Amino acid sequence: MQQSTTPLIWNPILRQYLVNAPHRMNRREGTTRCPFCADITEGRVSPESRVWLHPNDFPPLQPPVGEAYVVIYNRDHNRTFTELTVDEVTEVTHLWRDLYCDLASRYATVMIFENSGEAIGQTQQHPHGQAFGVSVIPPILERELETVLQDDAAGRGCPFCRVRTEMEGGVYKVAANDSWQAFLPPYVHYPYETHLYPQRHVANLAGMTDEELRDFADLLLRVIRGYNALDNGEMAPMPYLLGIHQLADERFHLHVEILAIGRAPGKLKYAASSESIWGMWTNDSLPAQKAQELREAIAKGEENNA
Amino acid sequence: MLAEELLVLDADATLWRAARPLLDIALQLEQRDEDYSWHGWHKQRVEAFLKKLPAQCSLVLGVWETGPGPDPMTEQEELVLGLVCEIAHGEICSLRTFEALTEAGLKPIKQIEPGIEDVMEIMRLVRIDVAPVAWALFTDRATWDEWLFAEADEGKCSDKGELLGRFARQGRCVILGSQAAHPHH
Repeated sequence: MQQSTTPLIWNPILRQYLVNAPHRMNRREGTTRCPFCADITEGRVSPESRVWLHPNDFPPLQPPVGEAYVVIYNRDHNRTFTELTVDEVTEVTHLWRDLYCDLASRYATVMIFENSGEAIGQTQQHPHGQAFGVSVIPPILERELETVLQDDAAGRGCPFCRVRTEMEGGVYKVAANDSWQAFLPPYVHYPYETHLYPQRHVANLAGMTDEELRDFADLLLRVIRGYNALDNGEMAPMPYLLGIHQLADERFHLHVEILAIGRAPGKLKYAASSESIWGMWTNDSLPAQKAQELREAIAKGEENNA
Repeated sequence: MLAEELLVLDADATLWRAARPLLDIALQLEQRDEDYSWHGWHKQRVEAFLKKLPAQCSLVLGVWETGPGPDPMTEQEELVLGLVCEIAHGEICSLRTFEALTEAGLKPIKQIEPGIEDVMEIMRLVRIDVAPVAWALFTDRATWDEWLFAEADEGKCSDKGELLGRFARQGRCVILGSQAAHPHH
């Protein structure tokens, strides 16, 4: 069996890697001193910086296998993502794009993500997300790439473009703007899981224009604020996992998946035995109905804010 | 494989002396018939590799050799090959050595070490000055020679990619870049 000289451990049965990072067992949790506010108070970021990168203090990956960063969304410790303005989230998306361009030049995969909510393991309250550059392609992304390559070889075009077109204007639609589209497809794992696709075929954030990034920020905020408006706000704050799927392969189609973990007020959807052990997910809801609920929640939230 | 107008940006660089024979080999592959091969390198396979790369990208190669240090009891690592190939639409359109990056801020070639800090700096400068890096290979002279000269029919390896993957898993080289997913076991 492979010795642990690298944090990437190969599973010869599933033919995929996992990251072994025992030093993270004792990482900082529940402390009162915010390491990201310390970037400001200790002068590591300039007074003008509104968004910035903080090196992950407990990186699961280090060069040449990978790198890990924390993406700080705002200087204000107490603001949540949904309290940020479209302009402020647009700045975050620009930082994501810069980070993608940098990491993609060294690593096969750039994973930009956010774990939001204590229920799913968020340990720092300051508004932030994370990013990994990784020298392997994670299993789900590899599966998506296989589909892209198969369809390309068969002359069927981009499968993501096909799905996006199918979801446009139908019962699974959640929201849209000029350059992005959000929907809740019938194959979601979580009742309120939402997928965001750029309307244009683009492989990664490096290919996004400033206008498209602004639309991305707008749609992200609308969807996540919509989560918090579900059931008259009874499900707020909705815990979620957000991840940007992208590759440096022009055949791939950038998209965002938001796995909203809440399934009803006070209740979470757990990845239990069938999901965790076999990868067979059970969705205890009707996606079309949940898409309608989310559409209505977004509309109601926007009415209230108008 | 090679663009019609291939540019060599720093043919007067010291490092170009070691890179020049590689260009000669590439020219041989390009100009001779399809069946020609050189130590397991075939034009069709190289072209197939290049065609799969992003439209604008770069390939980076760094090779170090251990030699005697400044005093008789010490050894030091010396960069013997440092090359950047710029690729446009599946063709090599320019070549430059790491010496061309010193203008952009890379430290003097003699001071470049085979450590991750210098490797990262090379990658950063290539991305900014040339194009995003699709593949970068950093290794020692023995591994480079073994890979370069390996014949296709030798051993269990059927191709150069598979052999390089084996070297990477053995820790004999570092592979980075947007297209360089760590090879599967």
